[in-house]
Amino acid sequence: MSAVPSAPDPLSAVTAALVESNDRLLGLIGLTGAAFRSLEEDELLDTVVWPTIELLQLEQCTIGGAIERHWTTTTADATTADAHVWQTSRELDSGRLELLVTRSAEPFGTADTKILEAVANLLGNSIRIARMHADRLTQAVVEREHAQAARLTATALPLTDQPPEIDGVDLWVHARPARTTGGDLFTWFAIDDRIWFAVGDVSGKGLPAAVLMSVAVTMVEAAIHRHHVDGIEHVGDATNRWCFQRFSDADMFLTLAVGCIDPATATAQVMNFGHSPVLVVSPAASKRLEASAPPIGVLLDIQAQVTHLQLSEGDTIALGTDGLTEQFNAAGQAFGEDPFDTLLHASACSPDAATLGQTVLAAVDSHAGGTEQSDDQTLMLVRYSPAARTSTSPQLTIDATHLALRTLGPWLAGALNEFADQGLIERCGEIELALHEVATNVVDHAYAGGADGDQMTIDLRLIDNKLIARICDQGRPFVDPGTRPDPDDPQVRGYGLMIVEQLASTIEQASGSYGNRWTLSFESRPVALPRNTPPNPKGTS
Amino acid sequence: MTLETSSHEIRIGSIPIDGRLDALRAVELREQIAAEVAAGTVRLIIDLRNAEFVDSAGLAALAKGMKTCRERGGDVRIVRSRHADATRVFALTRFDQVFTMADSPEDLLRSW
Repeated sequence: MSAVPSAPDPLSAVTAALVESNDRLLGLIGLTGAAFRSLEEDELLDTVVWPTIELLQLEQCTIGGAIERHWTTTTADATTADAHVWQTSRELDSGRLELLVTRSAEPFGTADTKILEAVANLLGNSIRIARMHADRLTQAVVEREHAQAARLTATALPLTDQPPEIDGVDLWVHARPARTTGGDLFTWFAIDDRIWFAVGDVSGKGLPAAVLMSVAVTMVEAAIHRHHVDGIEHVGDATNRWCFQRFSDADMFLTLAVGCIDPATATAQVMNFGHSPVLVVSPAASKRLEASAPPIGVLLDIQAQVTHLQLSEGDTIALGTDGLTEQFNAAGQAFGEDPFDTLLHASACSPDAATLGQTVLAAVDSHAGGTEQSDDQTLMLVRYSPAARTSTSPQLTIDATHLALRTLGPWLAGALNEFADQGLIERCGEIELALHEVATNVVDHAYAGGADGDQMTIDLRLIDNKLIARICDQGRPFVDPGTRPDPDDPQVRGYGLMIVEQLASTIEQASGSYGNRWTLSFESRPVALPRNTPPNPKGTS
Repeated sequence: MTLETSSHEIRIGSIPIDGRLDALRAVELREQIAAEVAAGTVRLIIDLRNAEFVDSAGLAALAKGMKTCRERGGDVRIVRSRHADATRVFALTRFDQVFTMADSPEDLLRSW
């Protein structure tokens, strides 16, 4: 490639110099044009050093400082003592880079040193690129491991498709983790015919929140196990004491609602440490169960109030996390707490907890309209449902017309035969009359001036030899006139409810924006007709 | 129909109800009673022997008819159903003490 001048001929010397200069330029172009085929540090340095050795006829090249590498040519053995040496250095983020090269053939001229300075720059940049690439790879691996670890903490949670089976309680839960773990937790236990339940949210996101979540859920479960006999105050107190130090040290906190429901007494108790949304959903009136204490991890000594609830059939304790109420849509609007409450209340008549839950999730999804979920979303519904575990309830949905009411009797007779309760079968006519009168009220009042599509649903359940019949509509709220006709002063209207009241053992009626729900119960025995009925004074023979 | 007694002529209308006397049938019954009254017949026998079901709407139609007729010196009297599901509503509302009821039209005719 290059030629060492062998003759004093000035012309050939100039020619040789020109050729050499041209060779160097080509070599330099080759050096800078070398394609980096790898981002590995060693290969990057080789890509720069070997062309440099060839270009400048170097025997040795040594890089020292932050990294140690040495290159030598096959002829390097002969060149030791009288070799020409040139060196330079660069300061890199990762340390000092020292470049030392040797050549026996001739001293390093100005052009050589310019090229070597450029090579030093190139080596410095190559090392930077390689290190950045390596860092990026490491970071990606760490991130992936973080995400995996965060997901694995969810193994501390119970399986949502295996809720506890206990008579009188219908429990449903759904948990949707966000891409970056949000720290939602939930758990449940069936102990002594009662259901304990908890939903919480660890502040923050990612692996730290996930790790503390798994710690917290363990603490909540331990507190329930150890203190369920002592009462919910002790469960809440133990959870707070055991979690406080861990959360306080981590500068994080836990919002938590814990409760228990006793189907035998139709009562529930709830403690709320700064958590929302928590509410009791009832067709009659739903209400929020506001926090009565700060989140866990903020104060060691806290006295949380216990909310005591007397439940009616179908009442549902709903525990969500802020991932639901704060789900954004494309316009950047959150779903909102008030709409969340309203939605639950409007769906209070749902036949079971799962239906209610799916309604809520569908509404949140509809609001999001494809906007990514930014936080974990957890919804637990605990419904007091005395008949939850009995056989499937017969159900009839009919148009709200007088003509459709004529199907009620045959349907009822079939359903009562299925129940095979002789005492109820004998009362079929009475029960039909009572249901018929309520249904007539629905047609005439709830749906007065009715439209196509107006419907009502009637379902029956058998509990302890008692028939529970429900009639639900989506019409106008029922207004009880408060008075009943005086039997001794006959009038033309208003006997419907009087008849129902005499036939059913109990009548519950709830109304709201969702419509009306009537719940009638019938004992499995004949009711006595009004007594002291004197013989018909106007009757004949 | 018109029934006649031997002593003097009294027009007595009779309306038989078969099957269900519910809100739908009650509309028709009101019209039937109104037509009889318009024709001057204010003594009516509602024959419920073959009625299988009577609800409060049916009862209301009967009560309205009874009031209208009594105001005009007549009455609505009832032949009892053979079905418990149709007589129940009269007992529950004590209308069995308000209406003159009998087991046959003949018994009711004798009452007039």
